[in-house]
Amino acid sequence: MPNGRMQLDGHLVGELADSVMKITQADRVCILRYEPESERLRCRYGEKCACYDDGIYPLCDVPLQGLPADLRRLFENESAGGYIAARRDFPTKGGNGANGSASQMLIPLKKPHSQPLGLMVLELRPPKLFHPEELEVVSAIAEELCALVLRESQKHADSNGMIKKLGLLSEAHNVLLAEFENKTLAEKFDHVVAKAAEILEAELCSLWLVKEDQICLETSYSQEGKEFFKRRVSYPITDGPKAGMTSHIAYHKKIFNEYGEAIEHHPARNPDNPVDFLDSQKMYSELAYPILDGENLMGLLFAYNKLDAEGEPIQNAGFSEEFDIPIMKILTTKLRISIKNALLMKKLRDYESIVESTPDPVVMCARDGEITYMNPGAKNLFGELIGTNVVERYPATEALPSEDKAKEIRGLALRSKDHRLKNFETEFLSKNGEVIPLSLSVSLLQDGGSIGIAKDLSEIKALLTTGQVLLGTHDIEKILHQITNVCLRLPFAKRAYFKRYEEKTDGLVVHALSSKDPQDTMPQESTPKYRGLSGRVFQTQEPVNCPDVSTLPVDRFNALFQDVKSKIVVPITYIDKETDGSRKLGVLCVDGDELEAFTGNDFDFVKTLANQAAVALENANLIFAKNKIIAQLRAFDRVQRAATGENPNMMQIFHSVLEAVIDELRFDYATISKVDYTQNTVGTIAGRNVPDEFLQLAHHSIYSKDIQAWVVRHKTQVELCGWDDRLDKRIYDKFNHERLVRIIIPIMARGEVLATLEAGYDKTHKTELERDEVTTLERIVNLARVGIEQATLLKMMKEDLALRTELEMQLDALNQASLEILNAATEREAIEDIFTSLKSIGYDQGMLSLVNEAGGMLEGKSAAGENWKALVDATKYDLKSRNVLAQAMRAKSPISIQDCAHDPNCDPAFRELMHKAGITAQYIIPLMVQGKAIGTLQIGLTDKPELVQEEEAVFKKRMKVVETFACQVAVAIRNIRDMITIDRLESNIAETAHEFRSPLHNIMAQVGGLKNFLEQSRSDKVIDQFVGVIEEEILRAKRQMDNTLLLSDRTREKLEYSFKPGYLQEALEFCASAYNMRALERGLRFIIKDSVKRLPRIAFDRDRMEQAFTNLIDNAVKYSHYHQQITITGFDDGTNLNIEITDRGLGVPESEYETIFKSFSRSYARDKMRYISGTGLGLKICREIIQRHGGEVHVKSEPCSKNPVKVKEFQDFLTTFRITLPKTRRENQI
Amino acid sequence: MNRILFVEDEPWGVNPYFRSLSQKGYECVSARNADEAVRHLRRERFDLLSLDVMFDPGKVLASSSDPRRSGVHLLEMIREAQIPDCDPQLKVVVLTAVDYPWVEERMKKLGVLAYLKKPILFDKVIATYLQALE
Repeated sequence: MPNGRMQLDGHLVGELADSVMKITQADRVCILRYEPESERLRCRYGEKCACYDDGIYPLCDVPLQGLPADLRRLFENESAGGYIAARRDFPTKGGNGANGSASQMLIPLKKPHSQPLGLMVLELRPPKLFHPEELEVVSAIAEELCALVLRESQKHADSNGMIKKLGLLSEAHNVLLAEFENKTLAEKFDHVVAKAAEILEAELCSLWLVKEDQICLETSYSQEGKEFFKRRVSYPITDGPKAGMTSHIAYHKKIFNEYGEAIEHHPARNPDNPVDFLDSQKMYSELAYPILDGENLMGLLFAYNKLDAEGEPIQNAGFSEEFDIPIMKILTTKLRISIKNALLMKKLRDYESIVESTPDPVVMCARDGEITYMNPGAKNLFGELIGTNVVERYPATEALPSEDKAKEIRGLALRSKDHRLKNFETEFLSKNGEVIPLSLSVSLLQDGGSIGIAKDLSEIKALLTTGQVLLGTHDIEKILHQITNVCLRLPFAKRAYFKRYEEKTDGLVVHALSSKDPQDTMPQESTPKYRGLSGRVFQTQEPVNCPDVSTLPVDRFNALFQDVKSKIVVPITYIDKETDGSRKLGVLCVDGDELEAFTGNDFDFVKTLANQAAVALENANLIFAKNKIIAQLRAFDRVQRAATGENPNMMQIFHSVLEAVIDELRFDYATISKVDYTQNTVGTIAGRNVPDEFLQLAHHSIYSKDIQAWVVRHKTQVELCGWDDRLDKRIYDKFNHERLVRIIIPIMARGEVLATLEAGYDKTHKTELERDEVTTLERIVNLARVGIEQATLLKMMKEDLALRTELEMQLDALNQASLEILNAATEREAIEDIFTSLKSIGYDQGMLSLVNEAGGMLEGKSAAGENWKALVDATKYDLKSRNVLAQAMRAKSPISIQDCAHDPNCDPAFRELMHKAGITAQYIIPLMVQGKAIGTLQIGLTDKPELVQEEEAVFKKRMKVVETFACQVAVAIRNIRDMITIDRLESNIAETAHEFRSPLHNIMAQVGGLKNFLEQSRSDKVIDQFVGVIEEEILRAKRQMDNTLLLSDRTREKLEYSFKPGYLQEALEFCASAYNMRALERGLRFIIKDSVKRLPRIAFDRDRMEQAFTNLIDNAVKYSHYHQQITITGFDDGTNLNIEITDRGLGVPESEYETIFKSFSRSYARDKMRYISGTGLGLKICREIIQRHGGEVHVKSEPCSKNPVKVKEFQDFLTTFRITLPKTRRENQI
Repeated sequence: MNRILFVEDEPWGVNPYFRSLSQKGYECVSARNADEAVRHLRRERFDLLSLDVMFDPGKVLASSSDPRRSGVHLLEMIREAQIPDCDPQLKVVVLTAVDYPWVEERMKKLGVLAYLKKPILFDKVIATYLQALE
């Protein structure tokens, strides 16, 4: 080695330059030598150097300093390797550089990790980009060749062999470069492997390729040619002892170059793998070179058994490091590129098919804008535009001319990192001038052209527009039409329509038909919601894109239209996100007149539309419903305000109803017809949108044939939509009511029909009334009714108030009067006061009748008014009679007689009486005291016809005032009677007092006398006398007390009797004995006959019976003349025991037989003779006691003498009191 | 001889007085009703009349208004000299169970020496009579 520095052999370099030029197709090659001492690169290979062609001297001479920085770095940096391409600025040709007239590739000639020895410059004229693969190849070749050259320079070896090899290499390269011709990959593989075998002088060369995780034999060539194997050989890519050499090498991805023992005893060698693929049947040497793509193994290139010049395998040497391996490298590089290219081509072909089949337009343009390629999608969308310039396709605007648009796009692409522009929205003019909105993605190509793929936005834009339109309207028909129109954009859509679900018919009805065929008409009928394809979609909610309707089962498809070949049916369902509920609104149908008319995109498009439609429809529905409710509320409000105003007025309310019905609820017409109950007619009083003539003519009797009259009579509402038998034909025909659909509702108040509301539509507008419309009308009528009732009530209250005030005044007056009446001392006074009072409040006719004391008869007492006064005496009625007064008393409630002559309560006699007196009307009030009627008060009303004809309620109120007064009158009368009674009682009490005092005094006198006597003398007889009297008097006092304690009827009723069996005789004897002295004093003698003693036992209350007997005996003693007998007899008549007490003296007149047993009655006749003291209760008490025993007591008086004068003169009667007692006391007697 | 006429329809009420009074030297006569009373008054002269109010009016007082007030009417008759041979100024003591104020008033107006209300103690009665007779 001369001075240790390497030199490049000039000859070799020349060859190198040639080879490189051939291989790389470069126009010029310049090889410069680096001279470190001057730090310059010089072109020293003169005539071999490409730059020499020009014949210009000096040769390239570049100082290192003048180099571009990166190149300089290459030189200065020992570890740097690689090459630099795409230059234009390497100064060649005398340091002037290429000046842009060529593109250069600069390849330093150096061994790794050492200073470069020189630089190879390749130039391409005119400048063009090196193909990246070329770059790789070139650099590989260059590197290797240079290295080779360097080595050979060193060795000064056989350069001819080298040159030959270089020649082969370039051939190989040419073959590989031919891949852009139409050779299949397999052919290329064959060529390479064949050449490899030739160049490398190997017995066999094989190419193995990686397929998934296996390494597979692709092709093999020997010196003879292609080798064929019976089976496909492949091995797993794995390592390990006896894995197999191929697997091992594939696994390690490293260059393998061994021979001899190294192979024989290689641990990975699998002795089972036969070596029969080699003719020599033995592996002497093996070279394997990995084909790598980065880290990935693509395949292996094998060379087996290096041959010598004779063609025999060299046994103790392998393939050369210096030459064979570099060749392998070159070949594998090419293979790699080829395989990659092939894959790429395959991908490209796939891409090609994608590009061909995608509906999205793909357009390729040349650098100048000429459209060089359009895929079918682009042709479809834009029309055939190949050859035209893309610039023209951008629609020009004033602001932006087309060219600028194109430039903008290109500029954007260029500026971007990877020369791509994505999703740029723009517009494109199609061949027929249609502006198509696009979203454009553009890639710039190496040759300056571009390729673009676009998304047709017109559908989306259409959807957007539709969506906006849909949301902007709540006119349902409009929405539906919008949608079906848009559907027609689909290329093969013939028609589109909705089938909307109708609750009424529970079916689907066609709406909003849009069709490309103007002959198409919309069918009216609804189909049931289960029927047909539409039905199925409606039920299942699964959209359907049927490519061929004839494949559908017959029952599944009912064609509403002819010529349908394919069909899309999509459900329209509104989904409420809040409630997760859904509402099926219907289906959207698109008919296609071709088979398979609709693509997946079309389908999606229709589905999107359907969703939009659902939202819009729901919106519309909601708005519609809302508007409806608002209208209703406003209608109610109108009526409500009229009904609850200050002075609600019926006509006002009616008018408000009409306003509500017409202006708010939008009925076509409405009328109000009012009922006149005085004339029994119903007539229209107000209307809207009805002819005047109608208002005049629509009046009917409520009994006539007319629908209003019918409603009034039946008090129920009626809906009509045509003729009905209840209608008046005359009106019906005259006003053409055939055309109306209507309802008539009665407006009721207090159970009566006040008026009717009729409202309706012309059938051309609406064919029937909706249920909720009817409900709304009903509610309005109800509001009106309430308002009218309130108005009426207010009116009534006002009237009522007037009446009340009047009546209150009357009552006041009467109350005053009552006080006075109550203070009246006598009945007569009281009665006079009564009539005065009544007169003061306007009633100056009438009569007061009272029950007489004997009871049983009602007698007229007093009257006011001439005709009435005449009736007083005639008024005598038995309380049990049919007479109306007696009736009133029995009924304990007033009776009103409007006309005596015709009133059923009045008996003929009474009628006659009244008629004679000229009395027609009267009000009969029974006078009640503590539940008992004590009389009647008749109020004459003949002179007050207006009161009689008044409303019943008002009349009642008036009479109530009088009744109240009557009550007070009754009380007053009772009081007076009570006072009389009290008077009597008082006088009786006074007399009673007398009766108490007398015996007490007598006792005192007797006691005094006795005392006196005893002081002076003693005589038993006299003493007995005294004492006897005293005793009797005491008893008398006791009797008196007994009787007085029983003064009150009630006390007597409450007394409890205890019945014990005994003999009446004993009681009688005891009682009689109490009167011994007195009897003696009067000369009276008691005779108790044996008949009494013979009476059987009977149950009686001893004490009470004694009282009864005492009273009778007392009576007998009192009324007996002196010196008479009082006889007591008894007899048993089988059922009863009878006792008779007879005295002779003052008798009892027959007229008084009963009255003497009544309270306080005295025998006037008797008492006139002499005054008999007593309380007047005795006999009454006696009778009560006997009656409590179930018996009776009666009296009978007979004159003793036949001489009437004597009888009258001396009052000589035999009076017998008879007591009758039943032997068996009846239970209910108590 | 001093005589006292007792008009009383219940003789037991006055009989006991007779003994005591006759011991004092007074002759006591009793009349049970108006007729008897008048008969006695016409026939005999009395020093004192003991008069009840309620007794049988009899014929002589038949026309009077109230048989319960026979005593009043009798006294009226006496005072009005309607009974022949009877001193209108006859001394009268009333002994009665009747207790009406107006009766008392009337009697007193007619002039009575005492108005005794039954029941009354024996001794009191005797004392009154004796006093009246003085």
